[in-house]
Amino acid sequence: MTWTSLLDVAGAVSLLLGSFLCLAGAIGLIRFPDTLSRLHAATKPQTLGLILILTGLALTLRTWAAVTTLVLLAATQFFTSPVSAHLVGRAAYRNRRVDTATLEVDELSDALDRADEDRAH
Amino acid sequence: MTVVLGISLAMLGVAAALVLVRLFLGPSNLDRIVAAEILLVIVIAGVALESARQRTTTYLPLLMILGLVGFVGGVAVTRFLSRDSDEPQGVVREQPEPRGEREQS
Repeated sequence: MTWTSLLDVAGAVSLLLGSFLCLAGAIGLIRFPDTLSRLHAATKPQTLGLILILTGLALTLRTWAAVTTLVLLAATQFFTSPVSAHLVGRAAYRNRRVDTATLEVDELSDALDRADEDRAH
Repeated sequence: MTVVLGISLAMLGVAAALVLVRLFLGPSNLDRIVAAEILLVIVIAGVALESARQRTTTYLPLLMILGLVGFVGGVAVTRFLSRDSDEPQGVVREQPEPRGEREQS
């Protein structure tokens, strides 16, 4: 087995795994019950799936220009997806779309209560 | 390679269909935003697969732009949706100045 065909096989496996993770994220999006758990399905498997697909593409193309562009794209995705997920979670909390009874830990409500108490003193 | 790309593309198609169902069902607009962002990620993955099939780098700027547009659009719409509540619940807002005082000063 030559070096190039080995890289081709690795790239194909990465593409396959990445597509599978995208599918898993979509299934989670359709199956999970509320906005916050859907957010979990939306961010983690999707980001890993996209990074795997980009890795597969980089292994297939094998030029430095392509690899640097793909690393840039993966890094952008890696840093922006938590930001948008945080904004959606924040909007969900403030529009009262979060069922606080289902939460194990709810630090935000505690913090807001404490802020109210401090203001009352 | 062709078989692998076919299977991957089929999985992406099923994923996109499921995401479209969630986009249709809602129930809130936040769920729709999440679904739309995932749909764009799936589109990026599809373009990447096509780029791998043709072995060209032509589509790489397209991937970059799609990623950035997805982020900016999602953030903008989310900010728009949480319109009224830049401050947490229970915060006393500044009262508007009474009109009489402003005329005196």
